Amino acid sequence: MKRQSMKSKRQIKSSLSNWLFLAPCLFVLAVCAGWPLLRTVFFSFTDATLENLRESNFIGIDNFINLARDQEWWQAVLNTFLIVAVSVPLETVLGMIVALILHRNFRGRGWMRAIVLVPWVIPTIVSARMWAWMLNDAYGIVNELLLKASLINEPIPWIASNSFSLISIILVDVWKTTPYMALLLLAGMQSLPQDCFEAAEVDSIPLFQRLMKIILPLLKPTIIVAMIFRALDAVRIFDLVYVLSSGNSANATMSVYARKHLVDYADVGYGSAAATMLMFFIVFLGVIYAPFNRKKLQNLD
Amino acid sequence: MKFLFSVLAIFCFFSSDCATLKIACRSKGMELEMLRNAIDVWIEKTGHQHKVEIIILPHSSNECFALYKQWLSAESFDVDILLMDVAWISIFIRYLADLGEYYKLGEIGVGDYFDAIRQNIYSGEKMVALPLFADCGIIYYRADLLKKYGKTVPSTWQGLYEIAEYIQTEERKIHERKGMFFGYVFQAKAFEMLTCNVAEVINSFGGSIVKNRVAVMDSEESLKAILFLARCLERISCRSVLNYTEEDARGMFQSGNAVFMRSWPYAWSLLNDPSTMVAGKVGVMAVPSGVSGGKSSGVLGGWSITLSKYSKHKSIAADLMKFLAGKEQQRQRSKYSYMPTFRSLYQDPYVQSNIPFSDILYHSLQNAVSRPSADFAQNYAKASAEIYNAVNSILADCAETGVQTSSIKRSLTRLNRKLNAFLKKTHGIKEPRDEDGVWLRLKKFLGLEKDETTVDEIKTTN
Repeated sequence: MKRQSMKSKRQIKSSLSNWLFLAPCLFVLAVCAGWPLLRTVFFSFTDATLENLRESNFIGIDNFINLARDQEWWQAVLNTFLIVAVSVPLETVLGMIVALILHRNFRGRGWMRAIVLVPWVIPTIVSARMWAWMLNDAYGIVNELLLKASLINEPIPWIASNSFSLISIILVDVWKTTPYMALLLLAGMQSLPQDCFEAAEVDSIPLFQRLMKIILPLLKPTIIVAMIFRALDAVRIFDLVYVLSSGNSANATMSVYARKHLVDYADVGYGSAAATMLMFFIVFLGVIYAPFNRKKLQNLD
Repeated sequence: MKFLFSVLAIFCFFSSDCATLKIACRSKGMELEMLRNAIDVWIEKTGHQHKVEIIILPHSSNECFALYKQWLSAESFDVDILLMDVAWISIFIRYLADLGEYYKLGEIGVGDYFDAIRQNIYSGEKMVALPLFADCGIIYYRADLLKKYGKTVPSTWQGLYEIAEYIQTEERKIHERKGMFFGYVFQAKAFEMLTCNVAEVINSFGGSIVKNRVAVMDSEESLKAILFLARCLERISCRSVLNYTEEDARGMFQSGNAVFMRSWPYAWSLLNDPSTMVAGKVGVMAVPSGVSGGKSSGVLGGWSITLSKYSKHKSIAADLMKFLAGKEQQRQRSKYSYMPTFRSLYQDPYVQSNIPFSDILYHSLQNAVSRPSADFAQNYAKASAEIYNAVNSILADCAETGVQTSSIKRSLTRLNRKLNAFLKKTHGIKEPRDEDGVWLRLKKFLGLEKDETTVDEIKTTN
C-alpha cells in the first residue's frame, strides 16, 4: 500500500516526462485507430458507397433509422448477445477449474501451463477452419465418433443448420478462450496472499469450502476484470461465425452484418452505421461496467 | 545480388516492352495449374521479355467479388488481368478497358461463341471480356448404382427424386456408415452458388426470377421449384448442404456417399482421378426438367478474363489475354474438363475424347439460363444476396420443422417485394414514399391540399 502511494506521488511529479514517453504511442494510436474510427463515424452519416467515396452526400441519421427498422440487424444484435451471455460465463467457470488445477503444485506444471495455452495461441481463423472440418457432417471426426458409438443415427449438421451453428460457435469459442480466462485467473490467484491458502490447508478445510470462502471472495476483482475483458472482446466476434455458419442472416452477429454491408454490398455509409452502432454497444457495456467494477474494488479494499 | 535485382527493376521500369503482369486467378479445381502452364508457354513464346505474377484469389466467389470491388474502386494498378464470373461483368463494366482497341472481333472469333456467352462480353459497342471457359450446371450420377438397382437416367426432377430416395433407402441398409448415404447433394450455402441452383430449378419448372423487368419469385412455378428443393432437403439431401460450396459437395460425392450431385463440368476430371472412390463409375446428365417433356436448363456459369482500366501495361496484357482465351488454349484445357466457349471446338476429336459428355454440354449451353445480372446491373450483388439468404433460410427451416407450403409462400412474397424494389432502383423508377402519403392525407384532411383527382374530374366534365 505504502509503496503504491509513493509511486503515485512520483508519477505526478514526472507527469510531463510521462506524456513525452507516451507521445509516440499516442501518435500511432491516433493514426491507426483514431483516424479510421472517426472516418467510420463520419461515413455513417453519408450515403457513401465504395464507388463514390469522394462524392458522398450527408444524409443525417437516415442510415441509423434504416438500421433500427431492419429486422436482420436486431437478429444480429440478439445473436451477438446470446453468444456473449452463454460463452463468457461458461469460459469463466471452466477457466476457474483449469486455474485451480494449475495452481496446485505438481510435477510438470510449467509444461502443463504452456500446453493449456495452445488453443488460444492458434489464430482464430485457423482453429475455426480446423473445427469446421472436424464438425463437417460427411467426413468430420465428431460425427464419425458419435455414429460409431451409436449415439446418433444420422450425422448432425453441426455447421449447416441454424440452431446447431450457434451451438457450435459457442462451443468453439469456449474451447478457444477458456485458456485465456484460466491464464488471467491463475495470475490473479498467484498474486493473492499465499498464507490464507496455507492456513486453510493446515486446518484441512474441505476443498469446496476453501473455494467458496477464501478463493472466490479474494479473487472477485480479478474475475470481474477478466469477465469484462472477455465480454467486450466477445461482442466483436466475427471469424468463428464467418467460418462456422452457412452465412445467412439467421446466425449473423453485429460484425458479420457490418462486414456484409460494407464489403459485399459496398455500402460504406450503411455498413459504417452498423459498425458505429457496434462500437456504441461496446462503449455502453464498458461504461455500465466501469463504475460497478470500481465500487466492487473499493468494497474489497 | 540485390544490386543486380534493383538494376533489373529500374531497367524494366524504363523500357516499355518489359513488364510484370499481374493476373488474379482462383485455385478451384485445376484452374491454377492450367493457368500456370499456359502462361509459361506464353512467356516462352514472347522470348522471356515479360514476367507474370499470379495473385491467388480466395476460394469463395463472394470473397473474390468483394476483393475486386475494393481493388477496382481504389483504382489499384496492382492487378492487370482479372478473372471474372460472367455475371459480374455488367457490375464492373465501368472499371474495364475496351478490348476492341487491341484486336478486331474477327481475330478472336466472337461469332463462334455461344449466344448466351457472347451477350455477356459486350457493353453496348464495347467488348470488355474474353471468355476463358464455359460453364453450365449439370448433374453427375453414380452409373454403377443406377445399374445395380435397374434404374434409367431420369429426365425430370420428380424422376430424380424417386430414384434418389429408393437408392438411398436401399444403400443405407448395406452402407458401412449407415446414416451417411444420401440421394442428392447440391450447393445451398448462402452464397452465389445457391442463386445459380435456384435459377436453374426455377427455369426447369418453366418460371424465371425476373420477367420483363419484374421479379416473379412469387409465381406458381417458383413456388414449385423451391418446394422441390425443400423436399430434397427433407428426404434425400444431407442437411449440411446448407453449408456446402461446390468443393464440399464434390467431397461428399467423391467419397461415394451420394447418388446424384449438381455441379459444373470441372468436377469430371477430378472425380475420375484413380484415387477417388468413384473413378469410372460416374455418369453425366443435363439438368432435368420440372415437368415431363419440359426444357432442361442448366445455369450459365463460366469465367472470363477482363482487363483493368487502371492497368499500366494494357497492350501486353491484352496480348496475353488473347493467348489465354484463344482456341488452342481452350482446346488444351478440355483435358481438365474445362469447356470451350467456341462452338466449333465441340466437333474437335481431342475435345470429344477428353469430355465424353460434350454433346450434352453443347445442348445445355445452347439454351443455358443466365442469372438475372443484367436486370439488376449494379444492384445484382445485393439482389443475389437477398435470393440466397431467403432461400437458405427457407431450406434451413424446412430441414428443421418440415415443409410448410404457406410459410414458404410468405417468404417468397417478401423476397419478391425486395427484388422489385431493387429493380425499380436500378431502372430509375422512384417509389412513392410512404411518409408523403401520410402527409398528403393529413393535408387533405385539413383541407390544405385539394384533391387532384376531383379537380381533374371537374375539368373533364367542363
